[in-house]
Amino acid sequence: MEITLTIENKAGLHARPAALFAQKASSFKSTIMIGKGEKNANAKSIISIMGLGIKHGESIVLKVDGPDTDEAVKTLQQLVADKFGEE
Amino acid sequence: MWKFEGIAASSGIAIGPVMHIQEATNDFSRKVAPEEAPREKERFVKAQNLAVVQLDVLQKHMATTVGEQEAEVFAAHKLMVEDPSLVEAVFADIETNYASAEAAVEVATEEIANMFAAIDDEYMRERAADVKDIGKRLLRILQGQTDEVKYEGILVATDLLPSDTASIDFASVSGFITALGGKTSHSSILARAAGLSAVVGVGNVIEKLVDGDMVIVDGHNGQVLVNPEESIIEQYRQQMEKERARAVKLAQVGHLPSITVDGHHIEIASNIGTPADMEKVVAAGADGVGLFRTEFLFLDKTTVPTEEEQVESYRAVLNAMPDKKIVIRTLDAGGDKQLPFIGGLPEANPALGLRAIRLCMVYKDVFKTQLRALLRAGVDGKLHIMFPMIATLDELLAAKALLKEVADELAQEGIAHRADVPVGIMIEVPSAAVIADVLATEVDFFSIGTNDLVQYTMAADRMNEHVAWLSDYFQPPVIRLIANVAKAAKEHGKWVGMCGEMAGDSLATPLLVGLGLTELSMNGRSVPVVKHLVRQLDIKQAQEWANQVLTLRTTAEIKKKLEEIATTFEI
Repeated sequence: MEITLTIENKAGLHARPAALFAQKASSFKSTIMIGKGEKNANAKSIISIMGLGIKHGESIVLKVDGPDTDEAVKTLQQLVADKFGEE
Repeated sequence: MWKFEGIAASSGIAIGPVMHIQEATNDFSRKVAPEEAPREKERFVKAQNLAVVQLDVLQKHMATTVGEQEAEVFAAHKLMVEDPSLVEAVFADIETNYASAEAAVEVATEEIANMFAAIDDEYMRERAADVKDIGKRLLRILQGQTDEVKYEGILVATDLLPSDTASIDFASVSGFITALGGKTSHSSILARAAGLSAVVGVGNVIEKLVDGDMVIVDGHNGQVLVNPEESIIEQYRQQMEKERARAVKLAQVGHLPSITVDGHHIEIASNIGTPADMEKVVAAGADGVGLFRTEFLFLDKTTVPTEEEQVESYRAVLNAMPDKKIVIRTLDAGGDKQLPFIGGLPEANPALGLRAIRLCMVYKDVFKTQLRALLRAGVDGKLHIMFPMIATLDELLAAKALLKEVADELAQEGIAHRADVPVGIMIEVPSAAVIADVLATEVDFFSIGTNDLVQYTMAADRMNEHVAWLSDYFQPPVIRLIANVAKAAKEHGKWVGMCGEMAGDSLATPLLVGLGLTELSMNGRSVPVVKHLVRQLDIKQAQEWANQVLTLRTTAEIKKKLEEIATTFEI
């Protein structure tokens, strides 16, 4: 499954939000990738996520494939919608 | 004896023997036999596990000794050590190239650090240092070194990374010398926080230092003296003694009344950013708060803070010093401090754009909520309300009318509040300084914000180093504007204070008091220094000096005069 999300929290996907994202993604069995423009990253890796340098207002494409796809998409979508709990 | 220089990163003098920080070496074999690859992978996993344990301990140690926030860096390091991308890269290198675990870690962390460093974002570039630090930690473990070295004396290192500094017992270390780094690098910040002297960015001269060399680290001038003669050590010892005596003296002065020799009270207040700062204000011996910036309530929020939230914050500050004057500045947002819930269009000249009072008068409901909260909190303590960036009389009248409207509403609703809170304005736009006589008829006080006043008067961006010589509060036009404001306030029987950086500069104190300012608001550290000076001042003499300074034509002349004046005081 593929969905597009916009990163709304002020700091973008910096250390803390990237860590939260990677932690949540790691709790699923499915393969989860984040794409920004041409680049793709393993969503279970804080280093790969941070390497994309995703800033406030930018869109990312989330690709999830595996046994718990629906749940993973729902959870990660929620995390982004909640702005990583920054508010 | 020989000496070298670097960047003075943390003031003070330290004398002691040199000790080099244990560095991981790259003295390891880079390749292994193919059949040993599985063993290398195992070594890496073991090192990884040990690193996580070490980081865990460090995080807890740092949280209790320095602070939760400083400890956060180790939580991030833990995640990076265990990161699948790192593991993947290391394993791949071992499997396909038969790299040793050491070589694989070095290559992988360097690649990741380079990737971070290439991102066009200051924050991400700093994370590159974190990744390098991870690599260093793993290498040390793989080479059988531990964190448990007992460091003493003067530490010498290429750079002090978080992993180094966290394991150092600051009670037995008195100074740092590093080859790399600047004033804002991790080691410098830590040195200042821990009260150690430090000289950084000295370059590869550190290679000439041998463990046990006696050095003097002069953190004031950024100098390091190596193996000095006994007479020089004695000289520095005496200076250390003097500094210690001065610190003790200043700590005492902090709590004495701030009165000139001829009996005039000059309020020495503090600037704060959050209610939590009040503890330091009280400890420093300040006479109150001359500037409470309320932005913290609004920035980093996606919604407007509620009236109740605001009342609580304002009350916390007022109740911390119930008998002292507390000046709360209304929201100074916009420009470089954008509010997420207001949005707004990007401006070509944010410093000259829709900000502070201008922004508040557009988003009236946000402003009214703050004013309501202020009047409600004003029931306690000695609240003063201050509007930022007033440029015209109309703006001041409109803001005051809104305040009146809010007071009427609160009265109608039967909510407890104080309607007659003293109202003042920041003088930070030159136009306001010019028409201070007009504005004085409509306010209870002025507070001069020198940072913006200098920027706007000199038309020089204070963040732009290429025009830094203009950004000086000792520029004659700035001094004249301050004099004009003080004169207007005096003629109308209003008090005038200052809450910009200049207020905390003891070189300026005789001039400011001489011009007629009766309140100076500064950061906590400057409070005892400025107070000590005020207690030696005579108003008549200060006025004479101020008049002389007003006749001077250049910044250099003004500074020279003030430096002469300073020599007549015990500082």
